[in-house]
Amino acid sequence: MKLIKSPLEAKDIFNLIAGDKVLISGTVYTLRDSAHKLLLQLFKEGKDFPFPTQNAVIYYAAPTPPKAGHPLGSLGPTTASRMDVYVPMLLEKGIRGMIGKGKRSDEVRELLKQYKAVYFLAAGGAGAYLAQFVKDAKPVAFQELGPEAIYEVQLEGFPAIVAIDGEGRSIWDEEEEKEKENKDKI
Amino acid sequence: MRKKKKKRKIRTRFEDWLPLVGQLADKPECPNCGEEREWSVFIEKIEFCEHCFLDYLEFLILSQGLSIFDFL
Ligand SMILES: [Zn+2]
Repeated sequence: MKLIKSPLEAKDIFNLIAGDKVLISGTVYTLRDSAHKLLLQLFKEGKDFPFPTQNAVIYYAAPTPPKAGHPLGSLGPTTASRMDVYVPMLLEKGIRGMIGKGKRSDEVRELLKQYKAVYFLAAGGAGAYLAQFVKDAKPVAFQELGPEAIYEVQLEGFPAIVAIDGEGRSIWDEEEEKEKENKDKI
Repeated sequence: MRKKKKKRKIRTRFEDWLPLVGQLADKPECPNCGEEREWSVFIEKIEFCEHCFLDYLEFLILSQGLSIFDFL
């Protein structure tokens, strides 16, 4: 088990290997489809993002309404591949970590290698369980989007797996090689 | 027409199978996704609805068998 802090440091990224179990603490920012679209607009206009992006970690998630005594109701990961097309923009802006659910494209893997960034896999479907590792959450941008606004979230010991590391290795390498071999046989 | 039939068959199979691992939910709202659900499935003490359960299964498969409990 590796304990890591967000924002990430280059040496931390260097030490992360696909398959590592990690507990993430520190500040992350939630990001979903519609917020990406608004960020793209800012990016095209050459403007700054409404949150600090240097070495930042973003979390593909959308919070549900909170119950009494909790900052958030549930904070589960959402499918990351829908947002694959925006990855170049995020990396260009200095973001170095992403937390989400599901596989990413080969292009994303290449980009993560190029920029020395990491993709973390979080447990899909377990939003209520994961909410206990969220110590605080407040919207910081695009509040008109409701739950899809960008939230600044304080994590403490949030469990995840390094799915793609800064060298472009992934937990699916073996499986994909086998698939390729089988295809070549046919 | 043929395609439609196939899809329905898969869904029926899942619904047949769910009662083996789950139970009828006592509250309509899933604690994970907040959506209305019919079923509760418990893995250790975590409750999943019929949709979240499939999400979690996907996580188990993608993570090559690692579960959240490997972090405890
Ligand atoms: Zn659910």
